Amino acid sequence: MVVRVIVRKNTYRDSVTLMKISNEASRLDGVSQAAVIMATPTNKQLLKDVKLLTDEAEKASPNDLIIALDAQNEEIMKSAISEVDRLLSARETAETEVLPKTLDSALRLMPDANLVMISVPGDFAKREALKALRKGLNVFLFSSNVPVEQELELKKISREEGLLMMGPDCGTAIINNIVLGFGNVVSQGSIGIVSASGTGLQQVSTLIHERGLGISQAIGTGGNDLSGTVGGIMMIEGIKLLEEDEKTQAIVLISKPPDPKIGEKVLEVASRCKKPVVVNFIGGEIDVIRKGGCVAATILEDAARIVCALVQGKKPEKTIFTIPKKRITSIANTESSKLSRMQKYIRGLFSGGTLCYETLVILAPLIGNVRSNTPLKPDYKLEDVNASKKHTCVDMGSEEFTVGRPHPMIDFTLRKRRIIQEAKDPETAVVLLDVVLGYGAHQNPAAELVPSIAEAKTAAEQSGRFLSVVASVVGTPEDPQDLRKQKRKLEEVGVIVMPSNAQAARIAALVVTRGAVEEKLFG
Amino acid sequence: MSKRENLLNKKLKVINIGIETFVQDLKRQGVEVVHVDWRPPAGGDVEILKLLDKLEEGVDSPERDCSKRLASKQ
Repeated sequence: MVVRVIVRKNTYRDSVTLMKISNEASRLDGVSQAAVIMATPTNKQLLKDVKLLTDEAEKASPNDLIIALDAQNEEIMKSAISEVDRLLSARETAETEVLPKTLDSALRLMPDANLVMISVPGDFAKREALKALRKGLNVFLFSSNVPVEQELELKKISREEGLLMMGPDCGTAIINNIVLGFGNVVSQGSIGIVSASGTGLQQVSTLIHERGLGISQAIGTGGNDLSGTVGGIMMIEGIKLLEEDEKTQAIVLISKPPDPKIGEKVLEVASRCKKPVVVNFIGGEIDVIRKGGCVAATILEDAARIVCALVQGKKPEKTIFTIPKKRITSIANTESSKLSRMQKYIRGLFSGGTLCYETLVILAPLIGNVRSNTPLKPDYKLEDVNASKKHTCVDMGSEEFTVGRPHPMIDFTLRKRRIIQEAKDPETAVVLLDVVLGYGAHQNPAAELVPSIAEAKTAAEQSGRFLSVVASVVGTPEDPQDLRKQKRKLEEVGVIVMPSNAQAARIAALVVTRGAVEEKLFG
Repeated sequence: MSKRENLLNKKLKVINIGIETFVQDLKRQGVEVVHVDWRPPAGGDVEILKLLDKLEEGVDSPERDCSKRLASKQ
């Protein structure tokens, strides 16, 4: 074995590009491990943990790039290094001869630019966003780990200047039918969305698309917008903007339960809106929303269903499953009949934080409180995020899993490992997953997950058990990954694929309780 | 019409700073985009950067005040 750690001075690449290069290098014959990372303090610590932090690497600055390789012999090492160098020089933007280094020089190339997308590390994000706002440009700020005080400062400026300040930590938006960040290909239409949740926006917009309607604009606010500090500035400005937008007939607001005072403030603005507003503060107080004169939806699918009915002039119908009850109970019975007595728990492994949260909200009244790294009640916080206990749902997109590595919608490594881990636990009955498609997400999530799901099912089988795997796929057939193809691939290895996150959670509850919650569900 | 409303009625023209794959996603949707070859300023040293920002603010602010005053007169 040959191990080598190389520092390339003044070579900066973003984390997604580096993850792709690391993955490609790991797949080379004779290479057992490959890490191509920036020399940030976090990454250096990671190298130290695996005893690969050389003196040179320790001295490297965050502007320097570290290549760490473990290869079978010197010859393989040489070719692996040259392959990494080749990948590093192959830029996505290859056709542009000289790339500008700053916003100012970019503006010289595109003087009429009207939006800046920023996804630099959090420490530098405010600086770039501020420059853009001062130039009179709208901002989509994807970066996370930006302090709320900085967010407030940016949003105050954007409000004064009449500019959009989407984010920080804004995963998705759809402006003029263009997807920004992580988002799905949906029809253009008359429903406007303002969302503090990226995957929430994705779930609602795809379900609206599935019902044959479309999106006028979908404005992301970033997850902290409705906090006490930020005060809902972007959500309020978003409502006003959509109220004036001729193409928008109805508006959906999406957020996890907000700070109560800020929630009230937002509802006050929403209730004065001349257009109908459906409010989905996932699991939040419905009465408060209704009292404010808005239409309340408890979960994401309800928000999509209700707003579609409003636009079509129909009465919204309550839906538990969009598949006939007989078929649902038959699927659930078949799955649960194969479980052993020991198998009692749901293990949810999510890439979408809001989808995880929504699952907790749906499962609590059916099977009791579920443990999580983002629980509904503090008492149910997982002691160790890497070890499930009883019913557990883990948001694998949260900080403890993403430091030093890309989001689980792109990098499936940890989730695949966890699926196998859960399968080996004799108490696991159902593994519950979300699969998120669209721009920004992995090119073929099903191809990543299928081998691990098959391995997990085999591992359970070898121990005399059956492992039930339930998933929902957030996407559309028009997405680059094609919803139908992804669904088919998952079903081929025995995954029960449901039309929404909510329905996946409900059928998982039916399976794990051997049908005992049927009455609670269907009434 | 505010710049915000203006954006909703205009063709998007984007400057991308950071993750390079966003450029491809935007181009696939027919959006004109310029990618900035960004790297951490001040060698990535956050403390030095804070000092630089303070300096810049000091230099910048009279100009900004001036441009604001001009704008309000128009």
